[in-house]
Amino acid sequence: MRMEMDIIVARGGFQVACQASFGPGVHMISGQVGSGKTTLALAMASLIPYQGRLDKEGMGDVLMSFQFPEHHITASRLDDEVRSWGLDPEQVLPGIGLDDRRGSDPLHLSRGGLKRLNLACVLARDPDLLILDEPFSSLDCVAKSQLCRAIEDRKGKITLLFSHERSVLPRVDTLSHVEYGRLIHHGTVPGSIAAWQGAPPYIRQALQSGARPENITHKDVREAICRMRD
Amino acid sequence: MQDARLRILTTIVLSAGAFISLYGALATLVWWLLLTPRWQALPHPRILLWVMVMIAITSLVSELSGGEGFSYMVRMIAILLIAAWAYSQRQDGELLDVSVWLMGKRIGFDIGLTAEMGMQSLGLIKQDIQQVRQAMAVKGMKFSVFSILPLAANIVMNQLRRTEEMAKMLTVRGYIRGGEIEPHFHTARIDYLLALSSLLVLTTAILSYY
Amino acid sequence: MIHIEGLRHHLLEIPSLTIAGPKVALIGRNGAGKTSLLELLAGIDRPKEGSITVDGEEPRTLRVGWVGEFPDHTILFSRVFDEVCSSLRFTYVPVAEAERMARETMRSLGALHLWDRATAELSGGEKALVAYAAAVVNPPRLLILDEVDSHLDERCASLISDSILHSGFQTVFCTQDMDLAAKADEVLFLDNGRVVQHGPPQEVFHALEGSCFYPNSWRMGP
Repeated sequence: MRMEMDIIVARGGFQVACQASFGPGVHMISGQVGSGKTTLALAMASLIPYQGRLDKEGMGDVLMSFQFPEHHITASRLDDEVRSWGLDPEQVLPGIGLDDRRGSDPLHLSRGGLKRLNLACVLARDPDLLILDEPFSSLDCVAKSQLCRAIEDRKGKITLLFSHERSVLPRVDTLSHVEYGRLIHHGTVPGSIAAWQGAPPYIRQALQSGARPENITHKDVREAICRMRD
Repeated sequence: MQDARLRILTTIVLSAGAFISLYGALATLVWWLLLTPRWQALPHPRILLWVMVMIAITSLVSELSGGEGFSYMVRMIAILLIAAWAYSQRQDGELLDVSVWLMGKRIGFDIGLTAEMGMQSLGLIKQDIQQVRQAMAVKGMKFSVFSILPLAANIVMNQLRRTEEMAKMLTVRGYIRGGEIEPHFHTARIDYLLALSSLLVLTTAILSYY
Repeated sequence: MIHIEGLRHHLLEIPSLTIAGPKVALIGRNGAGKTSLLELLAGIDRPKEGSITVDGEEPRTLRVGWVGEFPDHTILFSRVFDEVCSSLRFTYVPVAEAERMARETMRSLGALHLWDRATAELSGGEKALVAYAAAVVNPPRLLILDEVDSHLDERCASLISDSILHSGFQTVFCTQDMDLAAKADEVLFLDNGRVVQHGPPQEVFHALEGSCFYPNSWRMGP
């Protein structure tokens, strides 16, 4: 299973180019707001047109989760909404503490609640290719940590994580950064961490002090700092 | 046409002229051909073309069944072109400026504020529709008659939420009624030419009617 | 000085609280009641039971600056200068004075180049700057920010954060960025409507050390 691409996507007066190859694993793609991350994500999900070649070899289903979760809602009851994803409400709602509100209107949930619902659904579907556009937005740090664990639990599938999150991050396999209209693929961790242009402050500070983390989570960075001191 | 007040006046005068008589409509078309950037300036030219085709078809049917289809067609097309031209010329904030100029700092400001907020909302709704359609595509739902209901519900709920946020913002910023504002207008010389010539068109229309 | 006595409002239950500030960070899980509390402080809402006073006065009688989570959604006007001047216009400040104050505010934020732009053309970060300018143009007694940094990238977020920390206004801000919260004078941790921790950052974060509510920069060293 592999996604190979050499595409240019034009949207609203600017364009983004991407030449990369993603295999099974978690791929972090950072970039500032407005850098074109969402445009690329939509193209990779084949939701908007692009020029060039995009091969999804050996891949079955592709799902994308949007930054604003309310756009995904199509049903007027929580259980119907879960069913609209082809899932059983019993399997999804208890996990996010919404089992007692299965008859209520999804649009009455807060944005954070909607986000957790949406993420629970796409993760439960466990697609071959999962594209997450700013999945951490609207979540508090507890929910972010839970999301990180769920992302790490996906085995043998491709997860593309488009985010400018700089605090709570999962263990990843590769790092990329979108800037000035192109995706720069830095490569696999841990080698790519030092070159990662989208590194959050806590990683930059650690690198500056000489630490060499194995991955990008707090734990990895702390361990690297401790190792350096020993 | 920079001065929004003159532009609105011109639009009303020309539309009236085009509506009153066939000669008025023809004069309006001449005005449009001579004094505007014509087709290039119009928004959504393809949609306009479709609307004109529909008008032409309706007119043909009317003409064939004994009505004044041709006159109707020319008049409606003239009005449509003037409306499209006026729409293409609009500038940010002019609804507020014109409103205050016409109706003062209380009612005028309130109406202008409502119009401004409306324009903001329309822009966001446009983005919403696009995103909801994409989100539906993710679920494998095609855009059809059946998907209109959830799409509409989504748009409405989002808009209601935003309206609540806007209301809070108005409260916090101290809004009670009206506002202290001095509307500014820039009037280019050509604006006078366009406005005066539109009156000529209306005169032609009225004269040809009698 | 913000005093809260016997407050009961929806989920919130705060028997007694005094907030001195000047920079106060409000943290906690989603749904803990942070936005409700901020709305009460801003005078947008009134407590069902109990009282909130800011220097002895009711919040709704004071001038308050408010910046919400999504500035895109609360922009009222299509021109930037209309948006920034709005609170001055609503309160009938003379036009010349209003323009002077607005230009000065934009200049001090390094955003004067946005003055003649259309709000629809602005990037998310620029919109947040404009919203911030609109909130402080008429110097507020209390400045309230509801997670404004959540959806901004690092560059814009740090611009806003700097403005928050260095402005002269008493500020209560809600954030998911614990490193920013650590720079405040006081931190309030809200859980299920109750103030579970309150005090200087050192004290509050020490109590929260096992949780994810802890500044990253503190985790990493010394």
